[in-house]
Amino acid sequence: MRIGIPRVLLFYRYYPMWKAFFEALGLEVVPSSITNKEIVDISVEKSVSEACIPIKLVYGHILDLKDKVDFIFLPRIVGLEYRTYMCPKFIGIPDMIRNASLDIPPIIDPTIDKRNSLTGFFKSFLELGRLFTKNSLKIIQAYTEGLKALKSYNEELRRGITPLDILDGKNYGGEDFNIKIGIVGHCYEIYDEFISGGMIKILNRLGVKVLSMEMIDWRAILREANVLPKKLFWTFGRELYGTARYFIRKGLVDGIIMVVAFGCGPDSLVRELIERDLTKPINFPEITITIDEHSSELGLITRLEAFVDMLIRRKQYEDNLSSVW
Amino acid sequence: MKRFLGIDVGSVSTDIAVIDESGNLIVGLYLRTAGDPIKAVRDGLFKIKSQFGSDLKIDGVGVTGSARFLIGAVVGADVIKNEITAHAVAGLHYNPKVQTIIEIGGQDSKIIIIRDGIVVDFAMNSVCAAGTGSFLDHQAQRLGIPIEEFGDVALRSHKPVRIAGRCTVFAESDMIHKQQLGHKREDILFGLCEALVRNYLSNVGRGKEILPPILFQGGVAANKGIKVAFERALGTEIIVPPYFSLMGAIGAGLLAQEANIKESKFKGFDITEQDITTKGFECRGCSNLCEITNVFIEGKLVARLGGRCGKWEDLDYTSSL
Repeated sequence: MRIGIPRVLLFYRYYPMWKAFFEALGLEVVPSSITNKEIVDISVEKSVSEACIPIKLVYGHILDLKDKVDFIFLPRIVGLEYRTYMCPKFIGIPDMIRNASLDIPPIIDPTIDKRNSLTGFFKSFLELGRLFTKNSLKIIQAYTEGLKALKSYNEELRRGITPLDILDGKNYGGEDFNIKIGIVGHCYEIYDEFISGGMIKILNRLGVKVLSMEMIDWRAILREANVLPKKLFWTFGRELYGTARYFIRKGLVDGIIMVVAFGCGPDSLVRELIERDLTKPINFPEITITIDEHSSELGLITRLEAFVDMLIRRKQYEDNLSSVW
Repeated sequence: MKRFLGIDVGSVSTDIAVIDESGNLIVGLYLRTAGDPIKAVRDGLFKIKSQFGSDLKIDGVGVTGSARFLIGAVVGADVIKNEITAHAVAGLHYNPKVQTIIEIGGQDSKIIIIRDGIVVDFAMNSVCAAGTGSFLDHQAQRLGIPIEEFGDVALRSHKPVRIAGRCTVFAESDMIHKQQLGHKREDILFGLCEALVRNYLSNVGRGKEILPPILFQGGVAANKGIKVAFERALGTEIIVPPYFSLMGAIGAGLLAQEANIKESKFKGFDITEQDITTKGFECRGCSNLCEITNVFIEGKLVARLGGRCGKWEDLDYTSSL
C-alpha cells in the first residue's frame, strides 16, 4: 500500500518522522513533487480565493498525488504546545480538501493536538497506526522509529544545514559566508522554493549564509517568546517572535528577512510586533518580503540585493569605526 | 580622463549618463522606454555616438533598473546593480549629508534612509503600485493634460479636494466623482498629489524616520505639485537635484567607477548599428515551463535570461547553439 504525503505546510519539519513511521508499518511513502507551475496553477484554480498561497498549494499537491497513491496523509494539526493553537486553516484543511470535490484517494487526517497531552504525539500516532495494524507493539516500534528519525533530522538541521539539503539534495548554506541573514518565516514559505522565489539560492549567490528557525532548538525559541507580557495565542506567532529575538540577542545574524504570506492575519500582527519590539529600537537591519502567487523573480532579487548591499556597506563602515577607536 | 557609462532602464524611462572619474556628468539622456528597452538603449547610445564620435573611450559600464539583466548582457556591463543601491550612491554623491532619499519612478517607489553616509534602511512599495509615475501619467492623460504640465496646473490650486490614495482604482473613481461635482481641474490634480504623498508616507515610509536633508529623485520629481505636497506633509524643504531623473544612471556609472575595473566589458558604440534580436522559447525541462529569452547580436547568442533553475545561464553559449 502506498501513502502519499503532500509537500506542504509542516512537511519540511516532520517528513522524516512520518516517513519512518509509515515505513516501519510496511507502507510505501510517496511525497508529492516539488512545487511547480502546474501545481500552482491548479491550486489557484481549485482553492478558495481568500486563503494564503501556502494553503492554496495544498490543493495542487494533493492532486499531484492523486494517481500515485492509495491514501493521502494530511494531519489535522490543532496544537503543538500547551494552550496555544495552530492557524485555523491548518485545523480546517482536511475538511477544505474533502469538500472541494477533487476526486482523490481517501484522506487520512489524524488529529494532532499536544495542547493538553502528556505523551506528545503518541496518542495521535497510536490511533493512526490502528488504521493499518491491530498489533500495538508494532505501532509503538514504528513510533519509536519515527521519533528517532526526527531526532537525527533535527540534529542535522542544528548544524546549520537547510531542510532542502537533507530532503531534496540541494546544497545551500554548507559554506561559510561572511554575511549571515536570519529568515524569520514558516518552513512552508521559506523552503517551498516556488513560494519563496528561490530566496535561499539568490542569497547564496550574493554570498550570504541563511539561518532559519529549523536550525535552533524549538524549546529555546518558545522560551525566547515567553518574555512577552501576554502569551501569544498562535504557536506560529510565538515561533516567529522567538526566532527573531534569538537571532538578534545571540548576535547570530547581520540582518533579518521577514517573510509574510499576503493575506496572513496573525503574521501581519507579529511582524509589526517584531519591528516595534526588536528591530526598530536598536536599528537592527530588517526587511519584509511579502509573498503571493506572482512568479517574477526580479522584484525579489532587487530587494534582496539592496538589503545585502546595505549589510555589506554597514559592516565595512562599522569595521572602519572599530579600527579607529 | 576616465569616463564611465551608467544606464538605468526602467519600465517607463531609460536614462543614460556618461560621467567622468569624479562623478561629473558629461552627457545625460532621458528617453522613453516605450516597451522596448533594447531599442531605447540603442537610440540613446546612438545619440552619444553622434555627439562624441564612436571612439569615445568608456572605462566602465554600470547598468541598473528593471531591465538591467537584459541590457547588461546587450551592452556588456561591468556592474549590474539594483536601483536602490544606485540611487543611494548617486544621492550621496550629490549631497554627502543626505539623510533621506525619496525616489518615485514609473512603476515603483522607494525610500532610502541614510545616516553618516551609510544606507541604514530602505523600503519599496510592496504589492501595490498605486501612486507611482505610471498612475500619474494615466490620470493626466485622462484629464487631457500633458504630464509635463501636471505640476504647474496642480500648483494653481487653492482648495485641493480630498482623494483616496490607498488604491489606484478608488483614487480614480474618487477623481471622477469630484470632477462630476464640478470641482476645478487644478484642485483635483493637487488633491491627487496630496493623495499620492499620503499613500507614500503611510505605505513606503511607514515607520521610517524621515530627517532632512531630503532628496527627491526619479522621474516623478519633475512634478512640482508632488514636491510641494511632500514639503507640506513633512514640514521641511525637499531638494530636487538638478539631474533628478538621471540619478539612477549616474549611480550606475558611479558604481562602475567604484568597482575599479581594469578592462571594461563594454561592447562599444558599434552595437547601435548591429543587429540585436531576442527570441523566446519555453523550456520543457521540467513542469515549471520557464520562458527563456535568447539574446542575439549579429546572429551570435550573447545571453539567455529567464530560467528559474539557472541551467540556461550557466550553459556554454557557443556549444549549445
